Amino acid sequence: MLNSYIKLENVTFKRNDRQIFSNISLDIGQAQIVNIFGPNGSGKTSLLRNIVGLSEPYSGTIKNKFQNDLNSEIIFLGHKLGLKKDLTVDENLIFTQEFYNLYDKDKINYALTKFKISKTRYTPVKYLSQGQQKIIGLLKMLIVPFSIWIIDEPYTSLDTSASEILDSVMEEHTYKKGAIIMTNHIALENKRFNVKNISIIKNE
Amino acid sequence: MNNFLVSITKEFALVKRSGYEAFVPIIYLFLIMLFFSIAIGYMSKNIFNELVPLFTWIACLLICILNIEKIFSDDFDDGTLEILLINFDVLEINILAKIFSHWMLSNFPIVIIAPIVTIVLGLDTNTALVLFISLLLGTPTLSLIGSIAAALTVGLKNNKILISIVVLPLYVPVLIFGTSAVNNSYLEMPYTSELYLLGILFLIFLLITPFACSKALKISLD
Repeated sequence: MLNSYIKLENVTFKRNDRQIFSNISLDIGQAQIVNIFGPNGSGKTSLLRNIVGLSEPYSGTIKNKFQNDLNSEIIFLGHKLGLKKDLTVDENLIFTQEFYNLYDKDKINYALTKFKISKTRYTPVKYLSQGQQKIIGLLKMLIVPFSIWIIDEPYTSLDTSASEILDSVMEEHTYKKGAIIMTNHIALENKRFNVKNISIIKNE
Repeated sequence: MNNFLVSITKEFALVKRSGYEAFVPIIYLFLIMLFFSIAIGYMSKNIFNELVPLFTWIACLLICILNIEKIFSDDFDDGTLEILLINFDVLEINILAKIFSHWMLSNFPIVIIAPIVTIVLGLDTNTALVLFISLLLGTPTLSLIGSIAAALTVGLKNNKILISIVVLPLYVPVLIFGTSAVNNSYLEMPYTSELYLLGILFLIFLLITPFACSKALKISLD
């Protein structure tokens, strides 16, 4: 358990007696990026929800290095982005930081310029496009100093340039000994970073 | 404590941005009062005065469940609730902050306005004061009870009717003690024991609710 942040052993998840996925073992440590891929309905999101503790596995164990302090090291971005549509981008990001008792304007400035959306800073989130909203959701990773990022389908609705920026951001995160778990429809290849692809099969 | 304040600031910022939402309870109170007054207008002034504080109480119950499901449903829809549940060490304090802001924005305006309105309608000041105290002690309990039902039904579509069915019977004790305090005061009988009971009900639910809500939310989001 020394180097691995999160360790899954033979995790099986059932919902209403229907087996969603079975016997997933996974080990994620410093500076590692894990990509969980599989077809629609194979349980990628359920697996992430198991890891962060929103659902309980049917059998198997999920251990983490931080014991009960997982919540202060993890940031989770699901399909729902956790943004308040009536508030501006700036307010959303500030409230995110304040939720974790942080206040760091420089990080917000840095994150906004990194993704080249500083112009939208004082626009309410509801007026932004789907892709821009997704980017604002992803910015939450950059403005808090957490070592584990858990992202559900980070590349959906992003254009090519935004995807490239996201790649570089993820690469930087591994330099800081961070870890990333993400899901995608396909295996990730030819990325700037090393990624461990884990396939998840659909149970018929 | 910091988390409590941040959460309240956020709720108030959201209401400020949504505009008219803060005035809905007051408009609703005036409408209910107006309709009651028209309906019982033919009765003698004495009976009318006796009934005014009682339908203020009923108005409070209705206003409380008017938007009780909003406590958690908005956060559920945009995903804020998932992030809140992961950070379970601040979960209870955030739930309390959300309930407090709900009370501040739905029932607190009524607590202030209703006694003034009843005085205008001809109630004596002492009874209006008792009405004020009983509302101040009783309405937070309404928000607390309602939030448990809101948490249990957060994932469901059309949960509004379900919440009303679950919650309204649980409001009965608060309604009984609240109205009998006001009634006793009007009839110049002792009313302090009812007020104490309202206070005790409030304290009990203040202790239970955060934990009941957090458990209910975990079940609903599983």
